[in-house]
Amino acid sequence: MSLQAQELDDLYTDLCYRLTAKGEAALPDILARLSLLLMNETGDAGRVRHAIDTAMAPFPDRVAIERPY
Amino acid sequence: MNARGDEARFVSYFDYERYPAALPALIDGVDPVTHPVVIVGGGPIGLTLALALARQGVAALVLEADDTVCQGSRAGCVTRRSLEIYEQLGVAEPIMRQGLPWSQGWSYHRTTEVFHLQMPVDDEARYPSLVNIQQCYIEKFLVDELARYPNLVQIRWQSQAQIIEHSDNGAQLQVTTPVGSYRLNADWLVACDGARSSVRKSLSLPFVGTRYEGRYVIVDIKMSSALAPGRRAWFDPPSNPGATLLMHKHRDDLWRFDYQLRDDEDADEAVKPENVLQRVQSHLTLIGETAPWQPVWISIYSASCLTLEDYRHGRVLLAGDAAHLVPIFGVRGMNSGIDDVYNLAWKLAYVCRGWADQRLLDSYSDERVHATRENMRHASKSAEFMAPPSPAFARMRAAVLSLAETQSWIRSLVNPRQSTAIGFPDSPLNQLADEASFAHGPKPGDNLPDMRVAGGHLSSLLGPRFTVLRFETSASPTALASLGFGVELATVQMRLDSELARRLDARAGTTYLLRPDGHLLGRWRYYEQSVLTAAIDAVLQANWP
Repeated sequence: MSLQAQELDDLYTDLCYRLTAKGEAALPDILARLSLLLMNETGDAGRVRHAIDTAMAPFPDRVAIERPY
Repeated sequence: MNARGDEARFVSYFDYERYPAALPALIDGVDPVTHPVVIVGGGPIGLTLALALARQGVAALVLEADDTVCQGSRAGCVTRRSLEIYEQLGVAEPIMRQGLPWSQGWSYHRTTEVFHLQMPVDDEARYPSLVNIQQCYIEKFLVDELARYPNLVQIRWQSQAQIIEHSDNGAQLQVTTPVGSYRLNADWLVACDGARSSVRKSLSLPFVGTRYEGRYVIVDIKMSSALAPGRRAWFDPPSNPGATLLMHKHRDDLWRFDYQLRDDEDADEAVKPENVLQRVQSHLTLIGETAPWQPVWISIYSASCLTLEDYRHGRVLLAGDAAHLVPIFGVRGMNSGIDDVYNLAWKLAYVCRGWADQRLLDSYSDERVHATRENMRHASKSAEFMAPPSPAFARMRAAVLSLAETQSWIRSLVNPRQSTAIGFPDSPLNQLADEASFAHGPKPGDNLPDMRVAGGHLSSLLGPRFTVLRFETSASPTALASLGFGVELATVQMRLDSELARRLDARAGTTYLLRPDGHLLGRWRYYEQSVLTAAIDAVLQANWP
C-alpha cells in the first residue's frame, strides 16, 4: 500500500502551506504530533522503526545522553 | 530543619519514642561478642531484614544513627508484594489498619483529564495492589514487632558505623555514639544505610547509571478533604506552570504533594516554607479545595537510576538504597528494598546456620541486580515523563499530552507504570527439569501470586521455609518434614477444583516447590519426595552451572 505520486505531491504541498500558516514557532510541536499520529496510523513497529532510522541517518549525534538501563 | 538542612518539620505523626545511646560491655574498646549478622541502618529495609532473620531464628544487631524512627512520609506506599512479605513477618495487620488502599489514578494536562489509571483488582488476592502509608509508620510497626524478639534482635540507636576492614571471615566496624566509641566484629555485615551509605562509600563501590536533573519538593500537609484516595498527577498545571505535580491521600487527613521545580528555580529558595506553602495553596485553589490546612513536613528529592553491579562483596552485602537508587515514581523505592532483604534473609539465615554454602548468597546479588534493572526500565520511563531530561523529551511529551486529550490510543504513554512483582527467569536456583510439561502459570523464579485456598489465602500458608503445594485427588496430609540437614519442608494439600489449580495449570499429581521467600523454585507433574529433596539440596549446596 503506497501513495500515488499525485497524492504524495498534494499531501506534501498541503502540509507545507498549512505549516507555514501556523507560523515557525509551532513547527516542531505540530511535527511531533504528526509523527505520533503516523506511528499509530502505520500500525507496524518495524516500519516505524525503519522510518525513524532513515529520518535520523543524515544527522550525527551531537548530545551525549546515557540510557539509564 | 534537620541536620542536613534539607527537611522541615511542623507537627508530628505520632508520639515518637526517643531511644538513648548506649555502649555494650567492652573489653579494650571492643565489643567482645562476635555478632553473626550486623545490619548497618535501622530504616525500613534494615528493620525488615532484622525481623525476617528473627523469624528464621538468626540473631541480628541493628546499628542506627538516629535516635528514633524517621519523620515525614518519605516512602508513601506499599505494594501487595510488600504486604504479603509483611504478613509473613507479622506486621501486615497494623499497616492495613493505618494504610489507605487505592486503585485509581487521574492524570491531567493543565486541567484536562488525559489518563485514568485503574489498577487491576484481583479478588483472589488477600491484599490490595497498593496501600498508602507513610514510611515512619512502617518503621514504627517494625520496631514494635522487633521488641517481641529480645533474644534475637538488638537495635543500638545513635550509633554511627564505619567499616574498618573486611575479609573472608567477617568485618570489623568502628561504632561512634554520643557516649563513646568502640569496635565491633561481625560474621556478616549488611548495609541498609540508604542512599548516602557509609558502608558503600568506605568500600569505594561505584554506582553505575544516571542521575536525573529533575528536582521535586515533597510536602505532607494535614487537610480534611472529601476527595477519594488515588494518584493525581498534573502536567503543566496553572498552579505550577511548566512542571509536574503529584497528590496522594493518606489516612488521618494527611496529603502528600510531590511537585517538580523548574530548571530555573533555586532549590534553596524553593524549599523555604513560605514558598512551598504558597505553591501548595495555589494548587489547592486551582482544584477547588477550600478547607483550612497546615504543613506537616517538607523535603526535596532528585530521581536517580543508579546501581552497584554486585550486591555481595565477600562478607558484606548491600540492600535497598545503599545498593541501588530507583526513581520513586511507581513506588519502587522502599518496596524494592523490602524485596531485597526478603530475598536475602532466608539465604543468609541458612548460611549462618550451616545449612547452605555461602555461594547461595551470590544468587541474592544475581536476582536482585536483575530486579533493579527491571525496576529501572519501568521507573526511568515514569521519571522521564514526569521531568523530561532533554528538549526532545519535552517536545515529544507535549505532543503526547496534547494528543491524549482526544486520542485514547496514546494515553498508555501517560500511564505511571506502577510497580509489579518481578520474577527471576534466569536465576541459577531455578529447577527446570519438568518445566516443558506446563502450558501456563507462574514460571520458576516468579513470585507466586496470592490466591484463595481452603480456609484463607496462599499468602498466609507460606512460612519461612520451603513449601510444597501438592495437588492430589485423594487427601494427602499437610505435613512438616525435616530434610535431615536441619532444613524444613512444609507440604500443603491443594484442591484441584479451585481457581488456584486453574491458574497454576495444575492436574492430579502436580507439585509446586516454593522457596522460603515465596518464589517458585520448580514445578513437576508428579510428586516425588526424593526429587524435591534433590532440588533443595542443589540450591543449598550451590550446585548450579
